[in-house]
Amino acid sequence: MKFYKKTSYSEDFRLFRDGTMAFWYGALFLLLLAAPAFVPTYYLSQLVLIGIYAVAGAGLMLLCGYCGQISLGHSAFFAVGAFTTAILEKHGIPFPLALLGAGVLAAAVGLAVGLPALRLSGMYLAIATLAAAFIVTEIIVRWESVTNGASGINVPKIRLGGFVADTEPKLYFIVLAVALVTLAAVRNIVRAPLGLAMMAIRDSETAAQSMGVPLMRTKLTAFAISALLTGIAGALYAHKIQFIDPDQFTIFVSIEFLVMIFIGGIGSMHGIVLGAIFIIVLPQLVAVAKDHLPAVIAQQTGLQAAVYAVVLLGFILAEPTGLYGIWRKIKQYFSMFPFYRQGSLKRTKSFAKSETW
Amino acid sequence: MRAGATVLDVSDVGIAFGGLKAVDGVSFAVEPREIFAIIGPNGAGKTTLFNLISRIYEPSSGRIAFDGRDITHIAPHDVVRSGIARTFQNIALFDNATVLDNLMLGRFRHGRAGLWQQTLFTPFVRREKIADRRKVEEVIDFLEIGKYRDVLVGGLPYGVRKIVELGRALAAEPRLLLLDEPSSGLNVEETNDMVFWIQDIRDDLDVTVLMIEHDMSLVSAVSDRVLAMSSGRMLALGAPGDVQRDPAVAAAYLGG
Amino acid sequence: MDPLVVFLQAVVSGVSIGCIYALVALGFVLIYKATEVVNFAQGELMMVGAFFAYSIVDLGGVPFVPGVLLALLATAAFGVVINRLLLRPLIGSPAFTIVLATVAVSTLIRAAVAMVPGWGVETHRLSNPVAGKVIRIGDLVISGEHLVVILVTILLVALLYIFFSRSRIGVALQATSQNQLAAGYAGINVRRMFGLIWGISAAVAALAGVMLAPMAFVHVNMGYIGLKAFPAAVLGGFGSLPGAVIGGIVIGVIEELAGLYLPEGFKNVAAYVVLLGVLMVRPQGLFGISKRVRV
Repeated sequence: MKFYKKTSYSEDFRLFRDGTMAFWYGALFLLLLAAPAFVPTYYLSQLVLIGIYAVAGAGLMLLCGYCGQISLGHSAFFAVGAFTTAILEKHGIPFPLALLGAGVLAAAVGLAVGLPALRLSGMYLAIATLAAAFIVTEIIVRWESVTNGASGINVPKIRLGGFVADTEPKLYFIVLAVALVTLAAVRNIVRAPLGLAMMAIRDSETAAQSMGVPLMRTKLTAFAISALLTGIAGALYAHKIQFIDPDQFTIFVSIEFLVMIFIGGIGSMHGIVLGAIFIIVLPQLVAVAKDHLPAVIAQQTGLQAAVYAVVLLGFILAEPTGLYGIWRKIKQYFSMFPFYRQGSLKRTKSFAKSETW
Repeated sequence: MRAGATVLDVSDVGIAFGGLKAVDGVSFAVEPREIFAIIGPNGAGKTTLFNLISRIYEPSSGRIAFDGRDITHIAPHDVVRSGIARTFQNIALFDNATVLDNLMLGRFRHGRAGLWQQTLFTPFVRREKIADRRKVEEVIDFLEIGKYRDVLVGGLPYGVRKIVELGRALAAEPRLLLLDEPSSGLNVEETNDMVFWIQDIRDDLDVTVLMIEHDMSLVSAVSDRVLAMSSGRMLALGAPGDVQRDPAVAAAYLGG
Repeated sequence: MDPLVVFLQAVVSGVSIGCIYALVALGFVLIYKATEVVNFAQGELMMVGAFFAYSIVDLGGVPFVPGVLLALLATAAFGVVINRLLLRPLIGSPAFTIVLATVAVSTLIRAAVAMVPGWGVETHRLSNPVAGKVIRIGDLVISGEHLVVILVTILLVALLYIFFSRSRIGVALQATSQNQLAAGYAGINVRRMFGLIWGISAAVAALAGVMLAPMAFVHVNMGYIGLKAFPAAVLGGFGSLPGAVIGGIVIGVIEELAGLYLPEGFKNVAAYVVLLGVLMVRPQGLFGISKRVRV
């Protein structure tokens, strides 16, 4: 079993737990940098999508996973980000500003929604965000003069000075950069006092408040940051698929985001990326499996959604700690071998406290 | 702090829920470095009074002053910033976090880093975190809970959780400590330890203690003054012996 | 046409669709009150109820009223099964998990319905015994369907009221809603109560589906209308049964009036605007009680 011998307090909150971890992540980083050289374009584009979803996931993980507030409306911020960047760039605004504008506007919408809803228990937030998502989508559809309504918009390519992101690898590097910065920023917040305050709110608002955590302000901060990140992800998404219309941003997208962070592993940084990988890879697996299934099942239009729901329920019932939880159990098993027992990592159930809902 | 000034001044405070007056016309002052106990049968309004002081409830009448400053209407999260920390009757800890993280939250009110600094994890944030850790380690030493440092609170025995909650309040470096039934659920040994800790908190840390207690032996051993309450009102206020011998107090407990 | 009549026509329409919302919201709040579960699959239960009715009455040839009653029973059983298989193992889980579970259930139900031969993703018509029948009050025309919805809702609400306040099981359910632990100690089989509540709630949703069918047809996406249960429940005050009913009707009327007087698009979001408005101005809704935190 590996023991971590720490010699200074700062080791508690280092970015990487120890040299070994830093090494592996460094290697991963180099691999990702080199990817365009040996990965086929199709798979590269999947990596781009994973990166985009990871940015959105990071925001939502901060809000739901760490701060404990549920949002069913993040598709709205995704949409706001996508449309804002498309519209700004069509008017000649350079990409970096358009990206920033997308995030800021999404954050502003987030504040507008959060201010009324966050005053109450979490469930009202979930429902209010759901309502907000419907309203935002409707506004996008009706505001034809700006958004072209239901017909949608063609998204210009990313321009940075003379550089045009007209190939997949170029888009890939931009998305990779944004994703890495996002993950680092969220990781920093989590290990800083603000992150601790957010987790305190998740576990006991009364206690958090008694220790000086301003509830409303902290929740709003988490909400605004998550909206901002989702908006930025939306902007990148717009550039990836090059054509956006309101129908792409339904409540399913919100649910997809939630499912992503849950299956990845609530309350963990790894969960963000694992969840993103899962959500992008699953449809591919279903598509592949279709070729091997009897026609009766394979041809069903609902098959992908059904698999999706079944997998989600499977995780909820059997492994609520998500993919990251499974990963930790595997590591634990091998590090404790042969002393591993079934109950080693079992968590005790806590009963629903109305107070925190 | 001005010499002779009271730490906490409660004047004619009252709160009603619907028609029921949970606290009615309570007035008392807590002197610096005093250990002040509040006793009374269940439903006397003791915890409600605490909730008024820590601003979870809004009083319908009266005034509360801390260190001369009126805190009757401040925001709940500003209470600890003013210098008052508390524990809860039913223990409000973060079960999914380690003892260390729970204690570290006690340092939250001392934090000065802004959002941007934290997002970038600047050296300032790093220094603050290390300073917080040092302070928390002092509390851990004081309460002798070092071996539980990295254990998830959810898995700890009740007695230890109570001590962790006390530690979190101490980590905030309060001037006034509100303890809600510090000995409830503790066995005889743990209660004796609590006696020593409360005294040490007053003697070594220079903290004034206001506590709700049912255990009379603890109250007699440790308190300078006692306030007896019943049905939201004050019954008696004075030295522990006097209050315990007061016939009105005896009647209240025996159901007069 | 006389503007007053136009207005009243819209109100009648609104009350009628509002009753559908009210029924879905009622089922929704029933489950929430008893189990603290926010059931995002309530609309899908309504949809399944409509499909059961369609299969039994139109495909199976059973006469309308007994057929519908059978459909209600079938849906009730369906609800009980969902509770037993999926929600019961999750008792004690954090709220977030349970929300995701009901969301997953709603997705699964939709996908499953789409795969059933004879159901699929096409639109179907459910037999309508009052098709074409109308009542005229002066210039006001009230269609048979609207009238049936309103009458049935009134009847059902009365029935439920009697059930909950007078019958032993109803009182037991109330007890379970207020304090699960105490109810358990009093000898009430709390888990069985949960199953019963899900059954009743599903049956109410199925009834809503049957009555919605003439207006919206039977198809797999019918359940989205059930999302209006949220604004209805919030407006009424979460946890209040009469509130859910009144909330639903109010929402229905506001929607119709918005469609009549406001520019296009407002009708679609009227319910959600009301929801956000209520949260801002009076979060406990019309009849809810503001909760106090106990420390």
